[in-house]
Amino acid sequence: MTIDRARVSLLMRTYRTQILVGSASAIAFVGFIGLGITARRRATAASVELARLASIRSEVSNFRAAFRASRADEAWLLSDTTAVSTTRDLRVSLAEEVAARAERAGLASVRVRFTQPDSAAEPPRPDLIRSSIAVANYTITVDAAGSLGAVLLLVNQLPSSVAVQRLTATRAKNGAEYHLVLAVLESAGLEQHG
Amino acid sequence: MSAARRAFGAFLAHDGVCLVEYQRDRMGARVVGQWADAGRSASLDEAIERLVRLLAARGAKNGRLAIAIEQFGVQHHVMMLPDAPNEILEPIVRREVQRAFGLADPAVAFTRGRVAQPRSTPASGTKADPRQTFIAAAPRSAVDTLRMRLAGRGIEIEAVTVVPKAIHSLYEATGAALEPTAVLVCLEGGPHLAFFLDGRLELAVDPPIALEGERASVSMVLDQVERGAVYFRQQFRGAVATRVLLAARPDEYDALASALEQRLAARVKPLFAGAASPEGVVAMGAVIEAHHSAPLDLFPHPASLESRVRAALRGPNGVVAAMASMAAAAGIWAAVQVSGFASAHMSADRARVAARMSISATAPMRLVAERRVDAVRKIEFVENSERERAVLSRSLREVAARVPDGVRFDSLRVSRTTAGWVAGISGQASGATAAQAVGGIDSFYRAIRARQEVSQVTLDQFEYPTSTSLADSTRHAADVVIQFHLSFNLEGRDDDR
Repeated sequence: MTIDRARVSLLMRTYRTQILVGSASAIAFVGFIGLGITARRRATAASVELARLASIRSEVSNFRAAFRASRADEAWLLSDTTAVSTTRDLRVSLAEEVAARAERAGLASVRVRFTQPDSAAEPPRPDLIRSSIAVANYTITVDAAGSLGAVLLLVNQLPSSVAVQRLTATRAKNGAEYHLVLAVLESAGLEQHG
Repeated sequence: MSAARRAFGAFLAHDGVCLVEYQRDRMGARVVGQWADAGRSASLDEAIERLVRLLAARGAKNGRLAIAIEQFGVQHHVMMLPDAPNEILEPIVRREVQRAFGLADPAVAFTRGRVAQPRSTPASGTKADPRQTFIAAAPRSAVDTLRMRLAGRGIEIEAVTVVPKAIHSLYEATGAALEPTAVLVCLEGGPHLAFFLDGRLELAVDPPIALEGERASVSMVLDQVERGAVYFRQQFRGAVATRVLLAARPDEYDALASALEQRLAARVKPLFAGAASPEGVVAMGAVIEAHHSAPLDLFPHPASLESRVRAALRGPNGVVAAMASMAAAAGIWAAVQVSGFASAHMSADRARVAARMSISATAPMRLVAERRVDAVRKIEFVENSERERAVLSRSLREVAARVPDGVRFDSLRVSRTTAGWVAGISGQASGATAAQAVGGIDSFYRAIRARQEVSQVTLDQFEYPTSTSLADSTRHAADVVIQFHLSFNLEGRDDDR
């Protein structure tokens, strides 16, 4: 099919105004549709955001309605007396506490050491809102001699900030020797205020 | 309630201007006043000025006006053309006008009359039959003068037509009888003569060229009528006008009427009895013509909204109009969407600020609540830890308590797993016989397996060691010794609680 250039040129001249207005209309149509679609999408997103904010306000209102001030006998609850973790600075104190409890449990030849993390599974950690607790990158190892009952007594009396990862008992000439690997729960972040 | 609009008819010619005011009633139109300016006008512009003065003298504002024009280059013509759309006929008519009257750029108007019907062959009644087409033409400058001088004066121009068509309309208003009829209108510029056959205009004769200011005498008029009658008879196979409708000045009417009756042996009747002069009669003819459904109208009326819309919606313009409409609709839709977005955005901003303020106001309460939650979780954690340790201690204690005679542990290893604990026990079983030694292991194995918190109990090692590897003084030298290794899983949770 050949294009008659003269005819096309004639048509262009004849319908110049119509072509200009039609082109402008087409461009305007496309522009308006694009603008409208964009605005509609953003309006939908804004509506979703609005619903989310309304939900937040509703939750806050419900929270305020349900909130009751602390009674006097609940004051202890808000203090940080329930220690489930320690800090790196207090690890020697913690080792001392563990050694003291082992000796009080009746174990002999107690030796406490700081060692590399054990390959056993990590103990569970408390999931707190205002601070996070992680398993420390060291372990406390306790070597001692004595009875199985004394070891189990120690296990039951360990501080909350340590958890048994591994317990090994080996027969020896003078009885049994025990090797405990304790994971330490360490505060990973400071409490956030506000 | 406003008064009814006043209505006028006018006749414009070099020889004078005539204005007629009329009122419509049940019988048609009734002339209520007639005024004339007999001064000679050298141009159409001057004639219109005279007309405007007449209208102003009558206090005619917001009125309607129909005009018949004679001279000033205005022409009348009749053609036989097939019934076709105006777009097709218009160039044909224009070329014919240019050819017949020598007008380079004429303003042209035309309207359709009856179907041409030769006396010998009746019309078929189809659309292809040629129709009389009445044509009016004028120099473009004349029409422009009309438009410019009459615009903006508060007068609605109903139509500007030519004298023969006004006469035609008057004839039709008399009933358009089938009887061959001659219509004679004796204007100052000369007599206009028309012959009608079977109710159809067949011949229109313009006044002869006369000297300026010279009025045609009765004898000149009679000669003109006779020549026209002869031509009419020759052209239409002996047709003879047996009736004459006459419009003449009152002082000439009787003489003309009696002379016509004598020469043509025809009945003479007045063409329009309501007007005092032939010019007033023609003006009323223009009024009647203006009220036809398709008047022969030279005046360039502003296009009506409907016609403009139709023109805009035809052909390429229609495509462009459709595209523009779509763009406009899209624009409106986009505006609505943008407005909706702006509204939602503002609402979201307000809600965001309100939520922030609300959250800030509850910050102390939230702090207390979070501390409560943390405290409760810590307590739960401590309780779970203690329970886990208690379970582990109890399990190991009971495992140790169920060791039968002849079985002893060499080592015990317990390691934490994700689901609880994995334990391994290495030891020896001895007996006087192999059966006793194996029985000891079996008894221990069964005791372990019987425990609820124990699972996947596996005997990993079961072998008889060499005597050199044994250095235990507690057993008899003749005893059978079996070394074993037992592994099992301990559940971390306490099912008994």
